[in-house]
Amino acid sequence: MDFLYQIPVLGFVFQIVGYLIDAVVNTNLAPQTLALATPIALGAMCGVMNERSGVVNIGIEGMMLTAAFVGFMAAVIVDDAMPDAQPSAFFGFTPALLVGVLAAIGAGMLVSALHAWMSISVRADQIISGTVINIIALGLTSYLNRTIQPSGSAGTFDSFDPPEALVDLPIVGWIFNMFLSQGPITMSVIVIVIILQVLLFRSRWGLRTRAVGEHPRAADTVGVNVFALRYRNVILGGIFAGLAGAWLTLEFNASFQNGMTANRGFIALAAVIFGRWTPIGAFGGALLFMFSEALGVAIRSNPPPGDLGVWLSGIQASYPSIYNNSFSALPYILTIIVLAGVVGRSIAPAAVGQPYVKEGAH
Amino acid sequence: MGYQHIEVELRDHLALLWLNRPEKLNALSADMWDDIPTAMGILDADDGVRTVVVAGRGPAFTVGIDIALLAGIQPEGESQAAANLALYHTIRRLQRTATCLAESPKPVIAAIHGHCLGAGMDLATACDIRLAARDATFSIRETRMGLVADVGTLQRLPAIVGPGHTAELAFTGSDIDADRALRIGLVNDVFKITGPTFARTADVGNAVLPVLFGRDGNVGILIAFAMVPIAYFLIYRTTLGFEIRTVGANPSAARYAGMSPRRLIILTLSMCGLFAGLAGAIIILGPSLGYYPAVFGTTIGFAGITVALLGRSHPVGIAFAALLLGGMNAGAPAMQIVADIQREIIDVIQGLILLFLAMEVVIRRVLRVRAESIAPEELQTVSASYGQGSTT
Repeated sequence: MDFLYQIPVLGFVFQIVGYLIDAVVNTNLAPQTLALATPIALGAMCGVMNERSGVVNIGIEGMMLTAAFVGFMAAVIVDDAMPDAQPSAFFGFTPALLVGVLAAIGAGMLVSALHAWMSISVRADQIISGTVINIIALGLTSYLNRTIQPSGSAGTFDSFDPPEALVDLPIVGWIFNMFLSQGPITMSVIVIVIILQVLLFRSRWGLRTRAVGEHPRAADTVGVNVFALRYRNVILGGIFAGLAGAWLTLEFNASFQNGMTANRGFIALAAVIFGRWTPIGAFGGALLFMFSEALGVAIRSNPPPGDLGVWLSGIQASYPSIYNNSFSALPYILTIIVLAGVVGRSIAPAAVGQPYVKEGAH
Repeated sequence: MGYQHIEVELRDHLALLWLNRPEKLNALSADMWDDIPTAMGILDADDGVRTVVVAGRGPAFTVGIDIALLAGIQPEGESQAAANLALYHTIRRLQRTATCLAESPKPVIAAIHGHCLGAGMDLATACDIRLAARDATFSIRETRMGLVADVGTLQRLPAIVGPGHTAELAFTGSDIDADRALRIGLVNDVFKITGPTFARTADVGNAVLPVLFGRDGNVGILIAFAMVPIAYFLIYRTTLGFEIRTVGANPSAARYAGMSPRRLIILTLSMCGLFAGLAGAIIILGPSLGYYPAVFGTTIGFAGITVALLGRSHPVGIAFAALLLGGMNAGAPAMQIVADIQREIIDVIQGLILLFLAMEVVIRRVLRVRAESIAPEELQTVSASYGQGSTT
């Protein structure tokens, strides 16, 4: 390998590739990426469900935050009520955690129902509706968190421990490590993405959903109930936002902090556009985004060896703040490059954002 | 770091020790008294740290010891002597917090803004250098509560301001402002700005916008309101504005009329950047900030969306909406202090205002207000053109 690294200029590229491969195969980068991408991917599934059926949802952030808070509170309350419950060997399930996840999903669906009502029945502006949800969710959860000041915690789900033999396999071991050393919510994401992709493009429901998002009048003409389908999809989308919230307070953290979604809902929206409104594409977008973020952290904490490392540490010594901050900007820069160059034009469902009015019924 | 109400921030060789309990104006709670020596111990041992700055988050440096804590350390014991002994140990423990600043081998600077009362004076006088913002006030507040300033002020202050000024402050417990503090040498310098002083970068320096009225009423407000007629004129009275509105309403029609939606959208977004840049400049150069924090303005950006929606995308409406939201945000801390209502509720109220705006149709129906019925095709929505891009 060394002689490859010695080639002028081109050797640099080999060093970068070598470092990336090493980081993915030999460090915790891959499982970390998948875990961090979970709430983004789930939020994006919520976005796909909404926008494919013609409803803009910029309130994913608020839905996630509400779900995170409600799920956490429910889990803490149940945990207080039954302190003797032992975590089961299966992902460390406890009744408290289970109730927390269900409560989070319920909260996500409830907020989604509000959004559905506002944008489908009231025909309010969907951007305003989403903004309202974001603002109220942030304010209300922070207010309640300060007022209640929940003490204690219900803990988190354990991640699965894949058998050593699988993880230690040469070449492919890291793939097993990436997908199996995860908590239950992260693991479920992969299943959800695949199922949703198949349903959306291979089922009657999917065809109808896409029709309603592209041309609701045409769909209505052939007997699809536009209102019911939109309601159902928006509310079902809330399940995913709720799961994303549950991941925040019941799998990744064991506590709730004000505004802890930290713009993940908006990044999820970017992932939807990135993936051209397909579940698999959005999932890929979430992975890419979080990979660059995890990579930025990895490079700073564990700089590459050889010329590349010397070069990087030279920059770091001369311009420390620029060096550190440019890695924080890495995901965003990468997204812009990919959106502008690789993905090409992404075209939204034609009827997205337009409330449907049945002919002669206003 | 795992501190509850203090925060240690490292910036290269500078360590910032933040008093971080803004909702109580940084009143020093039991955990803060304990955590400050712990944090200082770590910083003292860290060779990468060359200077420590003590500063307060929120509207004040600190208003002194938490009264709730004070009530809890009433001497108790089997005998008067035992009680007094217990009190003595408590005071010694509190003194440790000030002493750790004084005994640090590194230069310790107090960056003071807003109130610096009671125990705040204990901390400030234990620092090597004191710098103040224009709005700083100092007081040996213990006197007014019938207590003795026994955590270090009375010992350290005479060396800083002399026995005469010390006596006056200690006997009267009166407040002195930043000017007086500068005259008697309590602080080394007073900066023109209000709010946290320490972190202004060299680039910004003292280049802050002049204040016209009150504490934060700076020239930026004039600039912002000067933009209202300019934006109005641009949008409603120029050809360019007409083209922009046409593209927004119907890109296809605009293209048939010989306009270039793509060019106009790029031009419009660039002008949006101009306004956003102006907003950033006013925030940074406004007297209450005057420095560049790592993250700023994102909440203001989202509030900007709210304001635009509330003002119905009309410059004049936006001006009123901005005043409304600004007033609510400005009043929120006072509401929290006076009425003990958490300030987060302001967000909820703002959200509800928007909600009612969005549900105009429903509210009209409930209140039976008649309005011209609008055909669904003419419903103008912000989201109508979401995701469609230019259809060129």
